[in-house]
Amino acid sequence: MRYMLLVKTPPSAWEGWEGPVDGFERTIEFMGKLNAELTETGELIDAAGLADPTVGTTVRKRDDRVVIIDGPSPDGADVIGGYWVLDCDSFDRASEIAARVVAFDGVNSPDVIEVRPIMDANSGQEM
Amino acid sequence: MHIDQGVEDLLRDLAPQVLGALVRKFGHFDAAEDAVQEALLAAATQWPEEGVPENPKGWLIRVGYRRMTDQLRSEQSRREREDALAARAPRDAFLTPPPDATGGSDDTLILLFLCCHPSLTASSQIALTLRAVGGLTTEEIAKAFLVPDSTMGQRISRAKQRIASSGVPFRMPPAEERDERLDAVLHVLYLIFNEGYTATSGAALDRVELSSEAIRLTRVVHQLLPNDTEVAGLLALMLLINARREARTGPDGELIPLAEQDRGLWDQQAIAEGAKLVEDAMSRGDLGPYQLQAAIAALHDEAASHDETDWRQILALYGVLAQVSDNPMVTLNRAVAAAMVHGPEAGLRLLEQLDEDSRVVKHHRLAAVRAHLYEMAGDTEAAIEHYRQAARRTTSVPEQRYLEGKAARL
Repeated sequence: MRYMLLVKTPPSAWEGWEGPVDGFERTIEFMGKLNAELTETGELIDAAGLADPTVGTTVRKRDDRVVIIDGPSPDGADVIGGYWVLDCDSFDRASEIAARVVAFDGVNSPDVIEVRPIMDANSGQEM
Repeated sequence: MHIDQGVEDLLRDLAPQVLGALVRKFGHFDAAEDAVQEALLAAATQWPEEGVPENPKGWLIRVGYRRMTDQLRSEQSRREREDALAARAPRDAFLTPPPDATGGSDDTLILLFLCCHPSLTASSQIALTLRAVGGLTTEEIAKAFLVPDSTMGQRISRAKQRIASSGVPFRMPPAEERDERLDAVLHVLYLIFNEGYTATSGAALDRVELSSEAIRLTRVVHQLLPNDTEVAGLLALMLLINARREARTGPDGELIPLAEQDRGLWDQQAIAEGAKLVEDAMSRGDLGPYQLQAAIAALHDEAASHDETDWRQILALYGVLAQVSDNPMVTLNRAVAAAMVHGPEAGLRLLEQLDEDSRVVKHHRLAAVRAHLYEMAGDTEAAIEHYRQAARRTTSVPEQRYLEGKAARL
């Protein structure tokens, strides 16, 4: 079963970002090791960090018109900072991986990860 | 390349035996696999033109053996240990295996035990079994499980490394472990079957059909262990479930429940074979969960309609099954059978015990069965609520469509 691990961050976390600060290399190293391990176990399908939300746009419908605004949604909701797509044997296993990331105490490392099963479009059991 | 179907079948039967022979001889699982692939490739190109050799297995082992000694020799010379190799691998040992050698089929079984070794995760066991015993390519397995080739390749090579590093010898597990290890093999075969059977769409054109592959492998195990009643039971179960394959989905991949399936589409030949298998197995008196599930599937398959199904017998069998396996899914199915025999309230009462069971309390199937039983009882409101809850909980798009459709039509 496939799972998506979504790194959630408040928009404020991105403000005042001035590039890598001391100790960030430890976080990079941790992520690199983790991803190497998940590659080796054959669980990693994809993983990436996302660019600063101010670099992106938010596309939404307003009064039946499509409008595009710069940056994240202005309502101040959490933004996605990065993600993993994993193929794991169980939900518990996917959660365990997320827990390891959150437990890691490093500069700019994720504090909140949402674990969500990915819908399977091509199979189902008869009822 | 077009290979004659007969040759292809022959190669697939022989591949695990050849691999087994090489692993037994040299140990190196990884290198042995490469050697087998090369031998199979040579056979696939030469046999259609030159004809199948008199002793095809001996031919393949010979080619694989040569490839392997070449490879090991170059490695060894790099390590300057040629003497050790020469001493370990007497040249004539595998050059002319007698045609009636019995080791081959046992090798297939040993290989299965190895691929389903308890030190591997379920997904690794599955991948390695399909690769080493089923002879599928990494690309085929990746496609069947809808993961990138590189992900599947990693999974397989890691599994091989694990086996190599665990130092498990290439021989039958000791007698006291046999039952447990065989259970693991059967479980892996069942998972492979299920993965294929639950596929609702799927470009059958370019995806290996996993349920047929699982049936083929289980047939091999059944031939090797004809007296094992659970192996027979699992083969029967697969045949009896797979017989309904054509009827279980509609033209757009939508799920059709058992009660509404066109029974004219069921494969009568598979039903007859499965029913006979499970009947023979059960008459020997050593009951197990696969036989019981197969017996239940046979009762469904042999009924002229949903209402004419022998629900009493099915309920009794679920009762026995509940005693031999502690699985909440059994309780779910038992509740449906109880509802058919004693009415929906009896089924709903049985489900109450699952509200305390963390394995299933949030599972969509519990909500779905409850919805179904409320529908039977005429409590439309509760039925709609539970169908919607089940729809929200499932992670399968076809299931979600089915459950939402049920809620909408009530």
